[in-house]
Amino acid sequence: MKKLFITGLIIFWTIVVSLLTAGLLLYEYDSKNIASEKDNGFVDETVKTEIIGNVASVVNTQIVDDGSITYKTVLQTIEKQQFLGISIVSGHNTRNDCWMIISNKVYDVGEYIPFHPGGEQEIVDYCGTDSTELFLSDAGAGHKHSASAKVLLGNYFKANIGDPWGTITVTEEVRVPVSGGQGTDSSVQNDLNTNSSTPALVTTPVSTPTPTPESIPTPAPEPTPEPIPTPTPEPTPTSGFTASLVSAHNSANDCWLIISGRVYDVTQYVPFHPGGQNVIIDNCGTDSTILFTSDAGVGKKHSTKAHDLLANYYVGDFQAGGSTTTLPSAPAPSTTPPPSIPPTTPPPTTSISYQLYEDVILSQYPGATNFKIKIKDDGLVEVKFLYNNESYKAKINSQYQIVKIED
Amino acid sequence: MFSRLTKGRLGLVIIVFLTSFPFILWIVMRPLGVRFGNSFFALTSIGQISALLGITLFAITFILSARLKFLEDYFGGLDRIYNIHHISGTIAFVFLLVHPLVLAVKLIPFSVLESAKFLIPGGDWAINFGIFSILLMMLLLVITFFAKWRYQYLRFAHQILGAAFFLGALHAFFIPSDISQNMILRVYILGLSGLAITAYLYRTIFGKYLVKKFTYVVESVNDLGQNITEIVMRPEGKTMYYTPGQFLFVSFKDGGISDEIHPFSISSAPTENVVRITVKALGDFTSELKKLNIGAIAKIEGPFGGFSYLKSNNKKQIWIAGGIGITPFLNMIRNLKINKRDDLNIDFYYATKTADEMIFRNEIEKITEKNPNLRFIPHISEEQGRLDIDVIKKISCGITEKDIFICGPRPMMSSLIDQFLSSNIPKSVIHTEEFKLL
Repeated sequence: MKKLFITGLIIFWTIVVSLLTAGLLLYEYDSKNIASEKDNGFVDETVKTEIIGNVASVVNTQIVDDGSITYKTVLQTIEKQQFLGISIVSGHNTRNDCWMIISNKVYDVGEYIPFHPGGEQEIVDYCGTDSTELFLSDAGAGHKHSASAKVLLGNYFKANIGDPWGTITVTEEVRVPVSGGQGTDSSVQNDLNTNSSTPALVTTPVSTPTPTPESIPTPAPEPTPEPIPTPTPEPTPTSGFTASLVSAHNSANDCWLIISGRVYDVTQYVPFHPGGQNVIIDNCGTDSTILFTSDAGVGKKHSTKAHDLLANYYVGDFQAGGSTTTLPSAPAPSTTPPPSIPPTTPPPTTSISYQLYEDVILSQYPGATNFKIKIKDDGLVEVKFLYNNESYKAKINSQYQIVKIED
Repeated sequence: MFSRLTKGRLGLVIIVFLTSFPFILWIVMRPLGVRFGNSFFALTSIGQISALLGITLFAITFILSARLKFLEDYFGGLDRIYNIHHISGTIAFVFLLVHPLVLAVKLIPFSVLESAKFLIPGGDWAINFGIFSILLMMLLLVITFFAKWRYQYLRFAHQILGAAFFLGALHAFFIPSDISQNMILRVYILGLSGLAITAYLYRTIFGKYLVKKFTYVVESVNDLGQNITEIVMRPEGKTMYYTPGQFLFVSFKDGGISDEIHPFSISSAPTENVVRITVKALGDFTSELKKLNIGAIAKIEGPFGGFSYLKSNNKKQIWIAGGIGITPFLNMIRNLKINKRDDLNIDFYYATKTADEMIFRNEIEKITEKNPNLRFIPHISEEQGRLDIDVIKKISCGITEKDIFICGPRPMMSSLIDQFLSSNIPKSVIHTEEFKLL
């Protein structure tokens, strides 16, 4: 027995001393995927969407005459970026398919359930939910999850909350007024429309750090920069441009609009449009008077500054009559990349850029004053302003969209 | 009902059953495929099994250490019980070493740091109890095996293992595990641990009040030469009844002597109204026994032992005594003098190194002269060489159909037992007395 005792003791201490020494040497290096006690909150967010592509195709056109206004209904197919959030996780809520959120990380713990020392049901009851509190506290068991439990958890790590989670393609109906229509009223429903089949959307998207911080005012360079074809200089007709002539300039790379009897080449401006590029591109080559002079469905009309800005792009007058107003043809299927700004053409000067941000704010908060604009590290632009005697702080992304607003 | 032999094996069978039961329960609790589904889970499972087996054997070790008289019949003698106690204790210890080791090592692929931290006491007291338990066990067992202390200090250190067991039991109950999740397993381990602690407390803390002892008085202390002392004691209260070949535990209340408790073979005949023990000065205590005063009080616990010619199946017997192993046989011979057994036929070999060492030779020869059924064969290895089976076969005209009784120094006993077994003598007819209980 003595021999057995000694042998056992020697083997035991050899292994233990080696392990402790190794542990001491590795003291600074902690392993990844250990749930940290500091991350307590979780992203209170559902699936966020982001329009990553232009209209994929117009599937259908339908004319609806609403009495005073003529609309066309257009089906748009849009690819949207999904991000991992609780709504996706909550779909994996059974014993055989069990995901959990702990400290903003998602774990697929299905395989582990039979081995949970605290009991199987204690996990199964919380499949598909955020169990951060339960995991980090003692969950009523008298002691907390051990260090080895935290290490073990790492084994089941799947992804982080907020990770890109594939794209979904949705087809939505969009109503667009037909140009040249009568009436003063028009409402254009933007893409973010309740008919969509996307999961619940938030009206104020939560800000995410942009992956590559961009330096405003230069927009992110496109993968394949395409030089904008210099629009063939049209001889200024003595009587003005006709509708058919204008309608030839109906793409993102060559975009003319008729507004209040004047024709504008807005190609260069399109990326800077606070209301988004698509709403202009959809209407290239058409009369967009109503859209421009109304609130265009966003609740606020184009500001005075917008009107001033527009003047920069004037190319000539519109000559009514002549050829019939043709309905704008479907824009080309979007194999065209978003319009790029050739490096040679300098983007609007700094002062105009800042003005654009003010415009963005003004379009939603008319009468706002006391603008203070700051470029943040995450690439977003922070604009502080006064509106109705209250101060607000807004964050604007490179697409000139307000992504966050707080007071 | 049960033959003596079967009854004597029952104890071991029960131990095997008690150890297997939690193991089998563990196996059926969950599918094995899941338990050993991958290397991580496999290591976890090994960690769990070793813990279960470890604590079960540890508990059994305690029950066996309590020197419970009624258990003797189920093991064939107290000496056998101590034998098993040593084995189960060591195996339990090995299992309990494997348990934390495997659970720590399984974490290495994930984080060497966490693996190392696993072994260090921290905020989780359930784990801390386990760590302290095994460390205490290690310390106390190292002392038990290697410290050259006085017997009573060694004994005391060894008894502190009770605390180690208690810490281990606390660990087993508070840690979330198979035990905590399965009611049957929980009750079983709780019950077994409770029994172990009860047995331990009976023997140690409450021994003074609960263990039955006989009070004797020292009548005479005789120096027999060769460092051998004979102590004769007479009963003050109740008389202890014993069969020839048994032994006792005695402690003396005498200012000049340590009051530690030691086992000795009884060398008197049961019909005598005194109890005699024959002591060879081999250690600290036995060396000072010659200073024992007449009139000193002796506290005797016993009798123990299953070594007796009365338990023989065969009428023909071979007795082999080596050195101080003569004492149980002395007892038996003296008994035969008084209670003649004409039906028996005994060849009594007494082997010593030198002629001088052969104590009691005169007394034995006197008895055997008068008893034709008892043949005395002295063997002095210095002159005749070692006593081995060929000599015995020759002198006894064969060794089959005879019961064999051996008592002496361990190497001699092991050698002779091996020789008998190699000659196809069944184990059931070989009786031995482990003279050294430690």
